[in-house]
Amino acid sequence: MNRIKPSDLTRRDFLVLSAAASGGLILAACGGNAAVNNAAASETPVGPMENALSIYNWDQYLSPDTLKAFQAKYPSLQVTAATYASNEDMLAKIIAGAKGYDIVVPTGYMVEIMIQKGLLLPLDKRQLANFSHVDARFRNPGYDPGSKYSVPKDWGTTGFGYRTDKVTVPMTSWKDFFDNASKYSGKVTVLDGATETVGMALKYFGYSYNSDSDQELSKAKDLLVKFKPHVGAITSTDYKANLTNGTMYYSMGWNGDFEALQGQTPAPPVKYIVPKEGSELWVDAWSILKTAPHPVAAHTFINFLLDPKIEAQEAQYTYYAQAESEAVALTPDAIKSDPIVYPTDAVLKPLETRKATAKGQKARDQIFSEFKAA
Amino acid sequence: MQRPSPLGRLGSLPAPLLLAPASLWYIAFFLVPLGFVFVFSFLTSADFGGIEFKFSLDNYPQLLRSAVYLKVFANTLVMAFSGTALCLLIGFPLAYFLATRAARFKNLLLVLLIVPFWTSFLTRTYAWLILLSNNGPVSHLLQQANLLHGDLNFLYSYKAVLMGVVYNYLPLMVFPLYVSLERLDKRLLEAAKDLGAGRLGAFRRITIPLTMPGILTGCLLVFIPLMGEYVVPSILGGGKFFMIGNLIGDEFVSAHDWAFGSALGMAVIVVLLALIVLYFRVSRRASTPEMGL
Repeated sequence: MNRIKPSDLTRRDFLVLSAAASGGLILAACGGNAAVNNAAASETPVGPMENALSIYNWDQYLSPDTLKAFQAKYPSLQVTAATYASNEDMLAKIIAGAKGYDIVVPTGYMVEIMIQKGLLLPLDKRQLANFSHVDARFRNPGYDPGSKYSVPKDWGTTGFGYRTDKVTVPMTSWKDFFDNASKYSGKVTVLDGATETVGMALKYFGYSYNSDSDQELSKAKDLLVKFKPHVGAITSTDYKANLTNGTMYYSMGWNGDFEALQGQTPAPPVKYIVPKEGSELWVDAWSILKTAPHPVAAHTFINFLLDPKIEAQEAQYTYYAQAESEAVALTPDAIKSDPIVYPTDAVLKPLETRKATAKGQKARDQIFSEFKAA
Repeated sequence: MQRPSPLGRLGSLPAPLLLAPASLWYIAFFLVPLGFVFVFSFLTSADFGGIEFKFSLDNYPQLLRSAVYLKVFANTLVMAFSGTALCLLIGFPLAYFLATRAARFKNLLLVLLIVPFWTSFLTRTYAWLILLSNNGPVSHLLQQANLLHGDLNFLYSYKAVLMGVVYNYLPLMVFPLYVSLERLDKRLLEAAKDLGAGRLGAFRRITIPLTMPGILTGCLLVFIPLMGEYVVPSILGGGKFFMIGNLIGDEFVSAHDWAFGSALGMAVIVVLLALIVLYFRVSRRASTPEMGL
C-alpha cells in the first residue's frame, strides 16, 4: 500500500536531494545540450530553446487559456497537442514507438512503470524553478522517490456519482454500487480501465485496491461477470453526458468530472461520493519522454504550469485539486471549499494509490477482457 | 496501318512493370505487417507492453483456455452474418428498383446512395449516437407522436450496433447487386413468362440464379469488413458489446499483450480464409446455373 502522506522531507533536505538529482542530470545531458547545464535556475529557458513543443495529454485536461498565455509568452514555439483516454493507451502508443511527443501526463503508478521501462527523461530541476511551490507532501511520492522524473499536476479521487432524482436507494458504498445494479439494470456505467473497474470490485469485498492475490482477484472477477448484464456502458469519456441527459443513472468516475457537472447550467441533479470501503487516490504528473525532441521547451512549459497563478487557473478548468497550497489559496472559494475537490481527511484516510506489479496488472487485464466479453 | 492498342502506349508495357506499383504497395503495407503479426504470435509479450524475442507456443492455446474468447468469436460471427443478411434483405429490393424501375431518376438515386460517403464514417457514427440518445431527436419525435412512452433505450446494445453496421455497409451490398441486375437479360424473363412461369417462379428460377455472382460479391464485401469491425461497436455498443476487433484492439492498446493479440488476429484470418474458400466453391457452382430445372 502506498498512501500519500506528508513527507518527512524538509525544504533543506529537498534542496540537497534535487542538487544530487541534477548532478546526475549534468552527466546524462552532456551528449545533448551543454548550454542547458550552465544556466542558473530562472524562469527564462536556458540554452537554445527549440521552436516546437508537443504535448500528449488526457482529453480536456489543459485549459485553453493556459495554452494561450504560454503561447503569448513564447510566441516562437509551435505547440501541438494530442490526447489519450487512458494511461494504458498512452503507454501502448509510446512503446509501439510513437515519436515526436515531449510531455506526457501519466498517473502515479504509470510514472513508476515508465521509469522502469526507461521511457522518461530525468527532470532538470534547475529549469523548474517553480517546483519550489509544490507542497512538501507531494515531493517524494512512492511512485517516483525524490520526484526525479515527474512533478505533480493534479490529484483526485475515483468514486461514483448518481442521479438523485432517479436513484431512490441509499448509495454510500461500492456494495451499493454493485448490488443495486440489478435494480437499475442498463443504467450503470463503469470506467473503461482494468485498474479502476477490477480495483473497485476488490474494494467491494474490502480487499486492497492493489491486491494481487489470486483468490481475491477471482472473487472480483465473479462479481464483475454477474454485474455485467446490468452494465449500460463501459466508458471513461461519455459518462458526464450520459448522466446529464439521463441515459444513465449512476457512473463510476473521477471527482473532477462530477465537479464539472455541478458547474453546468442547469446543473444535473448528480451527487458524487467516495465510497466508504475506500477507493483510489491518484496523482497525475507531468513527465518528459526520453525521446522528447524538445526537452528545453518541455521544461519551460512544465515550469510555466507550476506557477501557482497558472495552477489556480487550471483548477477552474479541470476542477481537480492542485498540489500547491499557494495555488489553492488563489483558487475561487466555490472550488477550494468544495469537498468533492478537496475531501476531508476522514474521506481521504481509507484511500489507496495504485501500485502496479506486472503479475497483478496482467491478471486485471485478463479479468477486464472477460468482463467486457461476458 | 496497325491499329493502336486501346490503352495507347501503356498497352505495350511489360506486365511486371504494370504490376510493380501495386505489388510494392502490398508488400510494404500488407505482407510485411502481416509477417510481423505472424512472428509476434509465436513470441512472448513483455510486461506492460512490447514484445520479447522469446519463442512461445502459448498464445494459440490461450484462445481456447477461456470460453470468453470463443464467445467473442461467436458474437462476431452472429453479427457478421445477421448484418450481411439484413443488408441483402434491404439492399436487394433497392437494387432491383434502381435497375428496373428508377428510369430517369436512376443516376440521381445512385448519386444519393454515395452521398453519405462524403462525410467521414466516424462522424456519421457519432451522429447516430446523438440522434438515438434518450434525449435525442428520434426519442422526442416518437414521444410526440405518442409511439413511445418512457425512455428510448436503444443505444449501447446489440441492435444499435446492428443498425450502425447495416447503415454503413448497405451501399457495398447495393452496388454489386445493381450491376448484376442491370445486366440481367430481360428477354429471359419474358421467355419464362411465355413458357408459363409466374412472377415468383421467374424471379426464383431466372433472376436469383443469374444475379447470384452479384449477391455473393455483395455479401463478401459486407461480411469481411464486418468481421473486423471496431468503430461501430465501440461507439454504438458503449464498449460493452464486444466484437473480435475490439478484443484485438484491447490486447494491444490496454491489456499490453501483443503476442496474444497477434494470435487472435491470425485466428480471424484463418476463419475468414475458410469462409472465402467456401465462397469460391459456392460461386463457381452459381456461375454455371443448371439449366432445365
